[in-house]
Amino acid sequence: MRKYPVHSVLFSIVIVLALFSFTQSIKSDKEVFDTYKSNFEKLKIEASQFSSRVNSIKPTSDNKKSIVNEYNQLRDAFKAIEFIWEYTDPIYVKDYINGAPLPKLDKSAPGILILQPRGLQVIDELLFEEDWNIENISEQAKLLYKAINDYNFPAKINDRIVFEALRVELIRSFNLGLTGFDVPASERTMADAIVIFTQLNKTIECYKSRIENVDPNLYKNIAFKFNLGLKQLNSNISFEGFDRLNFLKEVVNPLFSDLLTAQHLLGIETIYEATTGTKFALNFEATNLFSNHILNADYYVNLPQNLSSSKLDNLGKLLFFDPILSASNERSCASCHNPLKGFTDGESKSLAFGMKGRIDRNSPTLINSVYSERYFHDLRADALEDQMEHVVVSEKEFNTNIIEVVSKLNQSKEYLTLFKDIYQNESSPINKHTIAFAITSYVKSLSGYNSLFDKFVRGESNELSTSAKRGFNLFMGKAACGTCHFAPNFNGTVPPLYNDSESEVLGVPENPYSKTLVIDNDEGRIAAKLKEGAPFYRYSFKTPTLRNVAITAPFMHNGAYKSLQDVMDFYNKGGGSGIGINVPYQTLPTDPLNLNKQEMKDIISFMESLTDTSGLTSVPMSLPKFDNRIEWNNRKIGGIY
Amino acid sequence: MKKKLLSAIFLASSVATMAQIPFPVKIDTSWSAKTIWMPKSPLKQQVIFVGGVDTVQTTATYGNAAGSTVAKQWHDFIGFTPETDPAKIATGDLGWVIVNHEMVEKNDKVGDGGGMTTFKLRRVTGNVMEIVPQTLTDGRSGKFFNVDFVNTVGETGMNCGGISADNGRIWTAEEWMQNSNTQIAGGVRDTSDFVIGTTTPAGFPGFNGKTLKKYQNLNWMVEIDTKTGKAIRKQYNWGRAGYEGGVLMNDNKTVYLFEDGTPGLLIKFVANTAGDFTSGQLFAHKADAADKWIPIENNLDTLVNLRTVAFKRGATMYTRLEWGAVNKTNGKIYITETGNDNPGSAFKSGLGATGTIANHLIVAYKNRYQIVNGTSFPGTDAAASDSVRNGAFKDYYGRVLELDPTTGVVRTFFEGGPYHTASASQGVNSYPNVHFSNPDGLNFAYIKGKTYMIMQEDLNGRTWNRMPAEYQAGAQTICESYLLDMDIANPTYSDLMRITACSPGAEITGGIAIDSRTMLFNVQHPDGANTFPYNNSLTYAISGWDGITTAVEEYFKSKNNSLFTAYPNPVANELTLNKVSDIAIYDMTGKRVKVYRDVQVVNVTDLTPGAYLIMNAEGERVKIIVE
Repeated sequence: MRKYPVHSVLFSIVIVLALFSFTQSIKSDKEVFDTYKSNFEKLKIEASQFSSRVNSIKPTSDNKKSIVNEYNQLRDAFKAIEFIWEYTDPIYVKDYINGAPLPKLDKSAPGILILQPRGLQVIDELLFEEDWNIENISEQAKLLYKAINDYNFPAKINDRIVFEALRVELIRSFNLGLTGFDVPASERTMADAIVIFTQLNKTIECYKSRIENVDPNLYKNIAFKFNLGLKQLNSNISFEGFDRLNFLKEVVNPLFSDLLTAQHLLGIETIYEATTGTKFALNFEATNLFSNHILNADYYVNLPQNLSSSKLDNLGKLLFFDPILSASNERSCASCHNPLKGFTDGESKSLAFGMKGRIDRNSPTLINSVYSERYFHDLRADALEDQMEHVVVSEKEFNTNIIEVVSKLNQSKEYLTLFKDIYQNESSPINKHTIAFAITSYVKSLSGYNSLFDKFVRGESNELSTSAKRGFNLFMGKAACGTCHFAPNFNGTVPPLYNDSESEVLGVPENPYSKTLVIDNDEGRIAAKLKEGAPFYRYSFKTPTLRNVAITAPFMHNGAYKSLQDVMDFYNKGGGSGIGINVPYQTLPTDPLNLNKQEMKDIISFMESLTDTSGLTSVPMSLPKFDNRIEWNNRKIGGIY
Repeated sequence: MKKKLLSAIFLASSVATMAQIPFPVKIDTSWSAKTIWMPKSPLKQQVIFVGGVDTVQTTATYGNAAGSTVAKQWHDFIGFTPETDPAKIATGDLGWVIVNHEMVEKNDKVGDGGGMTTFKLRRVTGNVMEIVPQTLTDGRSGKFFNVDFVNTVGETGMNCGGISADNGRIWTAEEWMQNSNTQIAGGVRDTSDFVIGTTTPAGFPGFNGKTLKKYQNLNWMVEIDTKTGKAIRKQYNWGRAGYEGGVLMNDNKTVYLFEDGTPGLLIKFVANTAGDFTSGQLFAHKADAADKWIPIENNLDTLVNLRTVAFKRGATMYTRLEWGAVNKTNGKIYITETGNDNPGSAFKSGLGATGTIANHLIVAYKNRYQIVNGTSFPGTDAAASDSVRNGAFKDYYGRVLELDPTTGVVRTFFEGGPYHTASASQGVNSYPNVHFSNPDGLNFAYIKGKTYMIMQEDLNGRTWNRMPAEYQAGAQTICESYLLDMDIANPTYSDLMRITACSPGAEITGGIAIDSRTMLFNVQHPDGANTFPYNNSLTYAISGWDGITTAVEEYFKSKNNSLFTAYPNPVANELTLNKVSDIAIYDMTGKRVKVYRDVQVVNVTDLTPGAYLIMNAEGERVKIIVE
């Protein structure tokens, strides 16, 4: 048995290694856990003190100051544990600790149950109102303390969770913290970020010796970037003046990448190894916040596994441009989603079936549209696959039905062969789902982050204009665009986990160019889904991607705005409420943004740097033939309108 | 099932609790290790009805001729009417299955509102299920048939649970209380008033000619004939409420109904004549009343406003009752109370103001208080009751209740859980093997002389440890279905045996044993991220239970072994370790494919068949072969 001794040697090596790293790992994750525990206790104390304070004193101006001080300490205590708490229990934090200060629906209730907002963001708003309502503040403080005190501590954390929590916090802090997203009134963004980066730095210090063991330079780089980041944050700069683009390129992205390298080199498992049968929207293996695949497109769609995606894309593309899907054989998906116009049609509202009138809403771009939890302006479809059927049966669009479409496609041997080739195990290969999968796959393929801006952020190009650079900083700061159009897709898909899509009430007028402004009467989300019939969803619409916005005018769900300048002006004035329309549940801040002309220009320059349709606009050379319906063979690729 | 011990491979096992081994990314796989076979489950799983894909035969409606269209989605309740003709039984015919669609939508062919689909099931050799082609009395021919509500008894809303009586009679329920025509307008095109008795089959004795607002004609139990695919009548005399489920007792007179609401009602109806449910007496449960039940008069105005009337009279308030079933072995009724994360002011104001706090909720609240705070509840029961009324009981796990029909007494059969202490100084050591929360579907199976409860979860959320930390970065909940051996005295959640987990994000529901060999389940509203057909609501059969009971018992017995080893659970495709461990799974090239920490049960469903090595933190390893 020659092999035997070799095995024994190998075996002992593994054991020694295991023992070696074992003793070190006790140091790191236990240290992180102990710090978390003691910081959690600190938070409890702060919350308790804040609660008893607001409960016991009168809101004189001196007292107000000291209460705000206490609040700041409470925030600091929360921000110190945010990265672990949010990562291990995001829903609890959202529901009870730091969710948006807006009412929402209890999704688990039978029927419609509205949950009132609570937590730090509500307190933030209350504390910075002119007139204090001390009872409200006191009630909220009590609720917050109770939620912290009640908390069921989760299962212990491990190295994997620490690294994932650190990296996810980089995304959260950059997109939700530094943009002012979670401080609706106090704008205490810089101080929050300092606490967070200090804590992240302290956490990685627990891994110092382990990382140095595998790559001394790596640890040096990480420490250097943290120091640089803290220096930038500490430079006493204002919320408006902070150079977010520079911070992203010099600090956030390098750390995001280096921490992943460290996790891999230390042999710490990935989330994909630790879970069974589940998908994540965030790609944990991505190395840059603007990586082409930072969002996992396969999470958002539900295509069957083991299908050839290139064949599926191809078939989907044929169907997309084939007017055979409509009752008149004259109109295709491309009728309203023209690749040359960024997959829109340049109309305010698209031409309806039979060229009679208009459909109800503006045609949105399809590029990067896959990265969404819900589809349509009113969020009525839960999946991209479901979207197709709405168009097929709509009298104003394809004006037909699935059974009819299937029966027509089945009359083409060429189509049947293409479907059979992909869906080999289906007894009737052309059906509602196989059609939907193909179109979905094609729409999914219409994605990519290769705009000038992406390349600049990734360090692949230096060609970004200074105006666009200023524009990004305004977008993510003073103009607050990035608090709804979240990076990197610049749509309503919420970081850092990207598994929720938001809609907003803006108060868009029916015609912004008319003398009397009235709200567009399209009710949006409230009328789309029975279980979303809550008043705050009236006039609520999906936040679309701003990628390719420069080539997809006109704008808004009703296509009412002709230019980006006009859209900027609308936002700058405070949306519908700002231009004098009564919008009860407007989610856009109603105060003016106070952007000057140059600033608005800069933001538009930045949006223009998000144009990228490269490799996405090709049209099929021909469509499949019908043997017995020769007249159908003359149909136009992409339809006649 | 092999249960050989591993050759113990040294290394002290007395390591600190926070220890964690970074398992090598790659290992040499040629060392010998004991082998465990993961047998293919003797159970056969087969998808039988897919919503949005299978075609249903429709009746003429809205001016459209009878025809066909794709079935509605959102499968919930499954009702079953057994075949009684011996000749048909001999050919394998089992009976008629009817599935609820818990959705409200406008549909030109099926009709607006909710819906149901009925079909006949046959089992042939090898436990293969077939749909029996039928021609119904109204001339429709095919495999699947929709139930016409619009032209018979008026639209329904969300068809959720129901009653599947032993004698084959079926009633469907709608949990979501509708309070205005505006609320239903998105899913029902005709919101004009409904006059009882103007449709065929004609109305209801005593109430014909009475007018209801369209929304008021929703939320009644509706009797259905599975064989003709027709609605028979709305059961106006059982009251209008957000009913989720119910049972018909053996006397063929007494019906119990369970309301999904906070507060929710427990209702009883006793027919005057066995089998005729159009006349009798209705009652609401009031646990603290001497005779436990308060009578409700048979007056349409009262019945339309049953919730208001009953709670005003002090009816007992439940936190979302769901399904129930009679255990034929002891005659008692078991009901799931799914719980509510945020009862808020529901027990205090509005309808709750005059309702009675249920005693079992007081017990459950005190129980939770003790575990979470480490000290017992400091006040009296009256004080605990006040706390529940004030919304202090975050009932996020729910429970299974037991109702004794002879006494009207309701008690907790077992609580969901486990709860954990809230102290930040005590992290939970591991995610529990069995974590039972928000029970929904409930039925009984009788296999080889033994009685098993079948239960399904429907998670209300991911907080409060209902999902492990690993899964928090995703957006999905994973609900599971469990079996409980009813011979176990004073069972807890830890006695549950997992039989199936459904697609992530979905609700598993409808579980019903149609005989000792086959159970049917529904998967409802799965997450869009699942792959076809599991991205659709669907009904599937799991057959072969008669061959599995020995394995089930074996599985239970094997749990308490003290040495490092692993047991396959043939039912759920999982491996049970003898103790909570950190483990890594390597493929035979030595590449690490999985690392699970603090687990005792390892799910191997996403491992492609083949050989793997499992190594624990002490370096001990076993080889598993997944068939």
